[in-house]
Amino acid sequence: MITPGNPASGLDDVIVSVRGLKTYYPGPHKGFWPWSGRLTVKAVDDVSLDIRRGQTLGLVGESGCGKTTVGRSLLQLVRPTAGEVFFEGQDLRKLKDDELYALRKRMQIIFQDPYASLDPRATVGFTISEGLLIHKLTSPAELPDRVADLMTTVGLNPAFENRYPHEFSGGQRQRVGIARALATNPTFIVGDEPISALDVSIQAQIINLLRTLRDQLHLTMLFISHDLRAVRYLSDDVAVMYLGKIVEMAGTDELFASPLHPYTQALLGSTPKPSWSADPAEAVMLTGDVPSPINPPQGCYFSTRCPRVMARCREAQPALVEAQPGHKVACFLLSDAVNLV
Amino acid sequence: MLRYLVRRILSMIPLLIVVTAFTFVVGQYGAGDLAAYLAGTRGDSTKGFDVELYQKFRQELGMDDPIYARYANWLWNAAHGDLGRSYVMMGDPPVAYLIKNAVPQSLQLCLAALVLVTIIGVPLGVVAAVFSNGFLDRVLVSGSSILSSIPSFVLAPVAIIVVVVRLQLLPSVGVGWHGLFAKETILPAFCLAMVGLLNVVRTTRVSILEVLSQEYVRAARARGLSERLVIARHVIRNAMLPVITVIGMTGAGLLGATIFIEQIFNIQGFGMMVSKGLQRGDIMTVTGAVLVSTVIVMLFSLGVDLVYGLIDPRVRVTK
Amino acid sequence: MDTSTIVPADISPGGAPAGARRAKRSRSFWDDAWYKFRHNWAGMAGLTVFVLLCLAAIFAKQIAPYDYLEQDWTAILQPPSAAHIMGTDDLGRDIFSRVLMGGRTALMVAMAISLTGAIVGLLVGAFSAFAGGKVDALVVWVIDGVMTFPAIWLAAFVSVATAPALKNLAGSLYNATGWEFLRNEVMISYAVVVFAIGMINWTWPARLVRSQVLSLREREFIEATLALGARPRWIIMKHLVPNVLGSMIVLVTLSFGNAMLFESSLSYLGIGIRPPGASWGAMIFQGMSKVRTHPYLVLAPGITLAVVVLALQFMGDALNDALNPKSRNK
Repeated sequence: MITPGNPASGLDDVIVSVRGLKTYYPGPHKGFWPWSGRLTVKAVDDVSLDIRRGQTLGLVGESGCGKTTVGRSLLQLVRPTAGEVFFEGQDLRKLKDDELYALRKRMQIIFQDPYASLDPRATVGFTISEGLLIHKLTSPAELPDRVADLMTTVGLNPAFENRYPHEFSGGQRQRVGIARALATNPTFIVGDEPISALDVSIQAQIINLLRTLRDQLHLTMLFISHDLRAVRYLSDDVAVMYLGKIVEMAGTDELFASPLHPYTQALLGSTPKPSWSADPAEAVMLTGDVPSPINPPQGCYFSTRCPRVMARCREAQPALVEAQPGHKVACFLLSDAVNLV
Repeated sequence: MLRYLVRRILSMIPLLIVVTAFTFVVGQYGAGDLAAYLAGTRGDSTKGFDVELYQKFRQELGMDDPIYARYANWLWNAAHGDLGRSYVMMGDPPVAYLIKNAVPQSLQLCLAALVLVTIIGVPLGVVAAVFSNGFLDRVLVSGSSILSSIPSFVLAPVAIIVVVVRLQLLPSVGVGWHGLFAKETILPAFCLAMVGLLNVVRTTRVSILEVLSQEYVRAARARGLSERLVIARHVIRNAMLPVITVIGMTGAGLLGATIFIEQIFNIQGFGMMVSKGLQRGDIMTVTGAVLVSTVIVMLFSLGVDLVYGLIDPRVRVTK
Repeated sequence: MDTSTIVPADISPGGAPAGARRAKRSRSFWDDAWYKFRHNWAGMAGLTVFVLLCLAAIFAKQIAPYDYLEQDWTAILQPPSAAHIMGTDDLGRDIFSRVLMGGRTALMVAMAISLTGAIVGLLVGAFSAFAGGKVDALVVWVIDGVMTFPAIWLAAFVSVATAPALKNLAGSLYNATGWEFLRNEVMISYAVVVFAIGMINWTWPARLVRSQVLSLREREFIEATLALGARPRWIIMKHLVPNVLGSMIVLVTLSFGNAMLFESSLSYLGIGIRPPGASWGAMIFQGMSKVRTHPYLVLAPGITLAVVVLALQFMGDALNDALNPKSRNK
């Protein structure tokens, strides 16, 4: 196995690979009685993606589109319903519990809510060292120094290791969360909307910290966010999700320069006056609400809100196909164009 | 609403069966051999233990049947209004008859206490919330803590000494039940009400505070409504739901406390029946009383839910 | 709340100079709680009363001026005086000495009930929450069922119905072991009371632990620990238990007072502690027939009971304010 953080081990090495991932939750009862069957919420519905070593994949979409569930399913924090999740060549869904517990030190997560994700009754020092204690990675004698190092790395004063989360600000707590994720020297980190709960002034600091750490430690990341600017700043590739499915996936520059899917176009159009925006005349406005994942629309899930909807969009689901080299999209407008060529 | 009602009533049945099965089985095994007791007390005591009579009683009471058959039999009869006989009391009166004579007094007493605890507790809670963390708040909350912490069987005799004997404000407590609106009912109802006072005051206070911190209250204040109008029009209405729940839950506690109050005030009610039944080991009476009191408590909580539905439009729409 | 009034605003963790490494240990959660509790007069008064009661119960034999069973036919129904500070009862027994022994009974019974209740409730509640599904539904249903019934009736019923069975059990245990205390009727009545009240008491901690575990399980920091590779046992010991502990302490305190009240109630009804065992409830009942002429017979044990129950209530409230700061003004 390749040691973590070795940049020489080749950039084409795919470290995380997801095939046909489906995660369904039990929804509300179908009928009136408690024993009547339950509906399913298709939070993630047939998602496939690859992340290469040292790369960052940005995952964007509106809230409730299932992007958070993708991250959790990847780490097996939520057990997927179907599909395969490979991490460094191992199918995580086939691992025994003990193997999974041991493997978790190599893949970590930074949570969205810096208030809920820290135990209010544990000192930050304990929170940061917890991974080391669980996996017995550091001897008790070295532990204080390791914790102090980690705190310095994320920009916290090591003197405060015995303080409790309520004594810290949101940004500082998020730094604690980052230190906790880094403690076990992981190769892969999921950032689950790590900045969206923070003040705007703090967001830039945390984003920069993440970027610096990623470059220094050669981390592979899945960066989940609805903030397009942050995703653009941090990601090498971007995947756009809508209602549990990936609708478009491409290199960051390519996607922001020429979005193909109407949904992506609308998303980019809704970002406040970015210089890279398409011609304002072309900007698409979205109307209506996101349909419920319990009862998704027939055909293309986006057909209810799509400004360029066609008759067949309401009948069949478009597949995710490579419209241009390295640029996949799930839309009949483009798959037809591909076929015609 | 009707479907909800049907479902609620149906869901009570399993609980009722388990509760009565528990009391029946535990009671039958725990109380000792009733036939032996009857043979010992009813037979000719000069002849020593009369085995024939014992066998006769065993047969009569169906005690040779397996326990589940006896329970099923009891339940079947209970569904037809027959709860068996109390063999401990003179003349073997039917339990259903005893209960029928005892329940109305207790229900009226509980009702009076419930009304009292509501008209005392809710305003106190509102006042405590309005002056929250002030002197008045502390006095009211500690005061109702004190009143609720004194056990009924201490509060009631003290009240009798002070109010009846020393101050002679109320007539001497006689024997029996004088009716819901009699002066004799004031003191027992008051003592019973104190059992639930703290819960009602505290819940009212907390839920008023909760509502006071809501946006729409701030909006109403911002519109320039007077504080009194804000509280009267917006706060109390919205804070009442948890209060109703607590008043409903208090009902069961009050019924429980009648066991002391009725004894002290000499009211021949349900609580008196249960306490005497327990002391004499009259297991048939106690088992019957358990069934009836469980039904009463369940119907009461159903009633609370219905009131809840009538007040809160959200509950009504979602059934 | 991260802006606790306890932590002065000028100590902002990130802002201090980096040289001050491990300078001063910050106030822990428990230090904060103790600080808040100490400044709550009602809580401190409750604690004082409770500590005094415990001391009085432990040293009852040393403090009591008379033997609590000693009958003095020359001093029957004496009102409070220098010789008998709470008077004497209709058998000439010193009421103060009996109140002390009654306190010992109440404390022993309440301790047994609240501790077993807490342990059983913790196990059942945690098991139910983790098992989920039908098991959880069943446990909730049982708890609701127990709570539907007026608690004192259930305790009284169980006490009456199980007393003969427990007595038989003790009898056969005595035959097997020869231990003398198994034949002691008072000891058996203690066991019956503990069992009967314990039957109800476990439901409160069970319900609390279940709901706490369920809500904690949804909290992200549990998921974060899971993501670190922690096994369930680690999560329970390092995160769930410390977080539930605060509420548990409050509940055990409140249930302690409740158990004392229930013991007295059962004894008052004549189905609790058997004479010659001393119990406040039984003393109140015995005094009731003479309450109009000799009110101190009821008042001495009655006021003691009320004060102790109130003390535990105040203590529980103060602990709740100190340990669960969020629930204070909400």
